[in-house]
Amino acid sequence: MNNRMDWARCVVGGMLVLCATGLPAMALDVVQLENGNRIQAKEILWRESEQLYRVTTIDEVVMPIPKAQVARLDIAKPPELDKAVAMIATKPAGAIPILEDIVVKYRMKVWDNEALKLLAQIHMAANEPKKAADCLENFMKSVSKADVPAEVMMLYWKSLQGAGRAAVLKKELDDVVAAGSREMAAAAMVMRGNINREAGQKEAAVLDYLRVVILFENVRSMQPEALFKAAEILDELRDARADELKKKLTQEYKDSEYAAKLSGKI
Amino acid sequence: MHNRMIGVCLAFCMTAAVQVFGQETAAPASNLSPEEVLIRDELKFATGLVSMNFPDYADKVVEALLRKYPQAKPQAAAVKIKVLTSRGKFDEAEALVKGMPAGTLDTQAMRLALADDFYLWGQMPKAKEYYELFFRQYPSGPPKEIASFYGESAYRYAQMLMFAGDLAGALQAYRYVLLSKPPAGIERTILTEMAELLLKLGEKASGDARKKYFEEAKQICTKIQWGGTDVAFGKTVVMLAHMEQINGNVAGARKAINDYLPMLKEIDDMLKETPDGLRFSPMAECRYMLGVMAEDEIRAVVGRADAKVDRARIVDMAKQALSHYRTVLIRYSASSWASEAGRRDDALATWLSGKGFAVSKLPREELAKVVGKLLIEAKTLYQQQDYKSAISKYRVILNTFPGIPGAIGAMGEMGRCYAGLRDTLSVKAISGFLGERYGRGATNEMEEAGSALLSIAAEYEAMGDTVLAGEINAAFSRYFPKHRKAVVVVFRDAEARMRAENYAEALACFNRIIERFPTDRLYVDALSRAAYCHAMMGAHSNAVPLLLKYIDSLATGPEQIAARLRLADSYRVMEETVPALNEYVRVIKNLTEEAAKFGTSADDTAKNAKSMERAMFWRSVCYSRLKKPEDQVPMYQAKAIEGFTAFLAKYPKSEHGASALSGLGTLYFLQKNPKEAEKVFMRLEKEFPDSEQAKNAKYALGTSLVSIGRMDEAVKVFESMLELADKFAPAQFLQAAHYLFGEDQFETAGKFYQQAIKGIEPRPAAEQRPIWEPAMVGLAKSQAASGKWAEAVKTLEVLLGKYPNTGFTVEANFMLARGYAEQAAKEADAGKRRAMFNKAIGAINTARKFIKEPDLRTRADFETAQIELLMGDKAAAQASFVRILLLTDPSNVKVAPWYEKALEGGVPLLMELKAFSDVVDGCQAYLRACPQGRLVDKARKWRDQAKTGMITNQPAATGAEGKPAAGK
Repeated sequence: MNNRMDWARCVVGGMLVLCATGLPAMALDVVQLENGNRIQAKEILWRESEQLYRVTTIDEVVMPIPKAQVARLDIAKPPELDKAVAMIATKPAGAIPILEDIVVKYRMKVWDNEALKLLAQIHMAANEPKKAADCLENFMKSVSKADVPAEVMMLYWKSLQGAGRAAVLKKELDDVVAAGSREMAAAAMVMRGNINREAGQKEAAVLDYLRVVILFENVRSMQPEALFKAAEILDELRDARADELKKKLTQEYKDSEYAAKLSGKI
Repeated sequence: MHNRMIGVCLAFCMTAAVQVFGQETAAPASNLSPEEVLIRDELKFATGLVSMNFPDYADKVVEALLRKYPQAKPQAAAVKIKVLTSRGKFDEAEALVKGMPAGTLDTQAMRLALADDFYLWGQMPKAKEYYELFFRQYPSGPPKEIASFYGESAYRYAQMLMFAGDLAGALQAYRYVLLSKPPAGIERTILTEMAELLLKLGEKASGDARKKYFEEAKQICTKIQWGGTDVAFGKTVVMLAHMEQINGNVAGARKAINDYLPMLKEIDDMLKETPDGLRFSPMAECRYMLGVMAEDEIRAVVGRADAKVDRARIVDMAKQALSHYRTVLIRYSASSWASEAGRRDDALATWLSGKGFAVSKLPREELAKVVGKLLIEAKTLYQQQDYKSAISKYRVILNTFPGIPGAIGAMGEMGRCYAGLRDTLSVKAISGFLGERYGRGATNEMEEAGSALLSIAAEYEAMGDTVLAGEINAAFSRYFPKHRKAVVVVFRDAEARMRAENYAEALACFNRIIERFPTDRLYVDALSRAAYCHAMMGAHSNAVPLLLKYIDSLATGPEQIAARLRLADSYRVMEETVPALNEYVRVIKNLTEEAAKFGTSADDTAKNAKSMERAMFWRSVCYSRLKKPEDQVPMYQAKAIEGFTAFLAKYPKSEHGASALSGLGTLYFLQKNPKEAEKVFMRLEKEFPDSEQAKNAKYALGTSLVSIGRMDEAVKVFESMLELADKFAPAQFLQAAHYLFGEDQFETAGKFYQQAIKGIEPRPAAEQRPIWEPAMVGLAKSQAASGKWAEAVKTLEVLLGKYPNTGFTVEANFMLARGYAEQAAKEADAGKRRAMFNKAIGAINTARKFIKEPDLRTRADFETAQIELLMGDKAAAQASFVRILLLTDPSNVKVAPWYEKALEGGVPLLMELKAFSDVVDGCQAYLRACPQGRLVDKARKWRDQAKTGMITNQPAATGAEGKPAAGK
C-alpha cells in the first residue's frame, strides 16, 4: 500500500516538473528597492519627465516608484540582443538598427546601456568616433562615473580623442587622475600621454608614462603599455635610456602583449 | 659596478633601518590636504625618476612643481640634491644645503641625505664628515623630538661603516643608536648586533685589546640573556662559545654550549612551530662548532705518531663530529651552515677512510634529499635575483656533491645567475663545460645539459640581449646536434634573425634545417622562410626553386594556393612575365574549377577569396606587360581589359581597385581610345576619391605606363603636368618627382622638384617645410645624378643654411661633401682646390656627428674613400676601404649594399697597391655572409686573383707612398 502511494506521488511530482519545464516561463521582471524589498513586476515603464518607474505588479497594481528608491532592476534579456551580438562580427551595420531599437525600448531598463556600449564599439570599429562618443555620453547619463566599467571608460576616452573633443577629454582625464581608482588613474595617465604624444609634446608624454611606471607600479596591467610607449618616445629622441625601460618590460612583463611587440621589433 | 654594489648595500641598509625601527616616515594621505598630497606625489615621482636614471626629467618635474607651489621648496630640496648628486654636481648640492636655515630638522635631514649620496658615489670621507658633524651636536644623546631620526641615521651610518670595513667606527655608531634610547625590542636587536661586532673586533685584536672587547661583549650577552629566551639569547650562546674557542679554550667552548643546551632546545622547538623557522636556529651554528672542534681534535690526534694507540678514541670522536655535521646538514638544511657542514662531513669521512678508519659515509639517497633542499634554496635566491648569493650556494653544492642528481640543471641555473650579473666569461665557461662534457654523453645527461644551455639562452633573451642569446644557441647547436630540441632552436634562431632583418644569417640557419632535417615537421616551414629571405634580399631567382619544393610539400589547400601566388609574384618581380602569368592563371583555375578541393571551412574560403582577388588583379597586369610577339599585343591588351573589368565587377572595393582602374584607363589610352580612358579616370575619381591615383589622373596614367614598361610615353604624360602646373598641388609634383627619380628620369624629376619648390614658396613657413625640404634634397640628388655638381652644391647650401639640423642633415651632408670634392677635382687653382676639399671633409664630419646606425657609418667611410680618391690620396682611400671591408658586417642587410660598393670601388685600388690579404679577407667575409649576393662571382674571382698575387708578389706591408695603411 505504502509503495503504491509513493509511486503515485512520484508520478504526480514528475508531471508537475514536466509542466513547469514545458510551459513557457512567465517573464517576470524584478525591482529591487533601496530598502531591501523586492517587487515582482508584470510591466515596468520609465517616465522620463517624472524621473520614476511605473511598475505594474502581478496583482495588476500600478505603483509609481521614484528612481532614487530603486537599487537594481532585474529584467529579462531582450532576445534580439543576442541576434545583434552575433551580427557584430560579420555584419556590424545590420546590428545597428536592432541595438538602437533596444536603446529606445529599454530606456532606463538595464539593456539600453548594454546596447549603447555595443553601438559605441561598432561605431569605433567603423571609424565613427563622434557617434561612439554620443552613445557613451548617453550611457553615462544613467550611471555614475564611479560605476562605469574600466573598458567602457577607456572606449569613451578613445572616442573623445577620435572625435577631437580635446577639452572634454582633458577634463575627464583630470577628474579621473584626481579622484578615480588607482587602476583608472593609471589608465588616464597613459591616455594623457597618448594625447601629448599626438600633439608632439614628447617630453610631457614621457613624463606621463613614467608617472605610471613609478607611481603606479602596483597597477601591473598598465605597466607594459607605459614602459613600451615611454621607450618608444625615448628612442625617437635618441635617448639611450629607452633600453633600460625595454629591459624592464621584457624582464618583468615578459608575457605581455607589449613585450611580444618589442621582441617583434628586436 | 662598484657604485652599483654600494647602492645595493645602502638600499639594504635603508630597508634594514626601517625594519629595525619599524616606522615609515610618510604621513598617511588622509591627514594631508589635496595640495599636500599632490606635492608629496610629485616629489615621490621626481625621486623615482632620479633612481631610474632620469635626473633631467626629475629636475623638470621639481621646477614645474615649485613654479606652482613655491612653498614646497624645503621638501623639494632633498630631491633637488639627489638630482644634482646623480649628475655628480656635489658642489652645487653642498651649496644648496649650506643655504638652508641652520639647526632645523629639515636641514639636518638634507645634510644626511647629501652624506648618503656621497657614500653612494664612493666618497666615504665626505659622508663621514657630515654624519660625525651631526652626532657631535648631541654628545649626550639627542632631544626627544629628534630621537627617532637620530637613531635611524646612526643605524644607517653603522651599516655604512661596516660595509666600508671600519668596524671600530661602526661600534661607535651603534653607541649613538643606543643614545637615542630606542624601544626595548629594538634595543635588544641593536645590542645583539653590537656584541657580534665586538666579537669580530676581539678576534682581530690580541692581548688587552681583545680582553676589553670580549669583556664588553660578555656584559652585553648577559644583559640579553636576562631579557628572555629567544633567538637573541641563542646567539649569545654561540658568541660565548666562540670567544672561548678564540681564546684556545676548546673545553670551555664545549661547556658553554652544553650548559645552555636545554635553552637552545627550547628556542629550537619554538622556531620549529613557525614556517622555515629552523633556518634561523642558533642550534645549527652550535652543532657546527662542536663538529669543527671535534674534527680539529681528530686531525691533530691522527697526525701524531702514536695514532694507533688512540684508534678507538678517534673512531668515537669521528662518530661525534660526523653526527654534528649530519644533524646540521639534514635537520637545518636551510641554514647557512648546512652546505659547509656537508662539505666537511664528506671530506672528513673520505680522509679517515684513506687513513684506514672504518667510518660510514652519508647514504646517497639521504644526501640527494639534502642536496635537493639546498638546490631549492639556491633557486629561491636566484628567483629573488640575489645572483651573487645564489652562485656561492651553487658553487658549494656543486663542489661538494658534483655527481649528485640535479647537478647538471644546477650548473645551468648557475649560468643564468652569471648571465644576470652580466658575467659573460663565466657564462661561456659553464656553457663550454656543459657542451664538452655532456654533448656526446648518455642520452639523459645530454638532454639535461642541452636543456640547461637553452635555459641560459632564454635568460639572455628575457634580458633582451639577442646577441648573447644567439651565441649560446649557437653553442647548443654545435654541441648538441642530437638533442630533441636541436631543430627547434635553429628554427627559432633563424626566425629571430629574420625579424631583425638579418636575412643572410637567417637564410644560413634555414638552409641548415633544409639540409640536415629533411624529415622534420619544420622542414616545410624552413623552405617557405628561406624563400622569403631570398625574396627580401632581392634574390627572387633563388626563391623560385624553394617555392616549387614548398608547393610540392604542401597538401592541397589554401596554403598551397598562397604559396603558388608567392611563386607567381617572384616570377613577376624577376620580369619573367609569362611564367608569372601561368601561375596566376593556375591559381584562378584551381579556385574556380576545383574550389572544394582547396578548402571548405569559412577560414579557408576567406583566405582563398583573398588569393583569388590578388591573382585576378596581377593576371591582368601581366597581360598588359606582354610585348611579344608584337602582332599579339592588341589581343593581350584586350585580355587585360577584360580581366580588369571582371576584377572590378567582382571586387569593387578592392585595395587594388584604384590601380586596376588606372591600368584600365592606361590600356584605353594606349589603344587610342581617349573617351573610354577619360570615363575610366572619372570613375577612378568617383569610386576611389582618397587614392593617390584619383588625386592626379595624369600621375596615375604616367605611373601605370611606367609599370608596363612604356617609359617614353610615361615621360610625355608626366611632362604635360608641368604645362598645367596651377592645376596640381606642390605635394603632387613632389610625389611625381620621387617616382621619376626612382625610374632614373633625373632631368624630368629635377623639373618636378623645382615645380614643387616653386609651388610651395608662397605658403606660410610651417606649411612649406614638409614639401620644401624633401623637394630640395630630391632636386640636389637629381642634379648630382645628372652630373651637375655645382648646382647640387648650391641647392644643398641653401637647404642647410635654412635648416642646419633636420632629418635630412646626414643625407644632405654626404651629397654636399661629394659635390665639393667633385668641384675641387676640376679646380686648377691649388689653394681653392685645397679649400674645397677641406669643405668636403668638413661636410662628412658634420654628417658623422649625427650617425649611429652601422649602415650610415659604412656609407660615411665609403663617401670618405670617394673624396680621397678625388683628392688623389690613394693611401687614405685604401685605409677607408679597408675599414669597411674588415670592420663592418656584410650580413647586416642594410650594410650589405655599401659593403658591395666598397668591394667594387676598393678592390681595384687594393690590387693596384698590392694589399692582397685585405682583398682576400674582404671577399671571404662577403662570401661567407652573402652566399647569394650580387657580387658573389666577382668576389670569388677577386679573391683568387689576390691569392695569386700573394704568391707571385711580396705582400704590401705599407701603403703606396710608403706610409702605413691607415685604419688597420
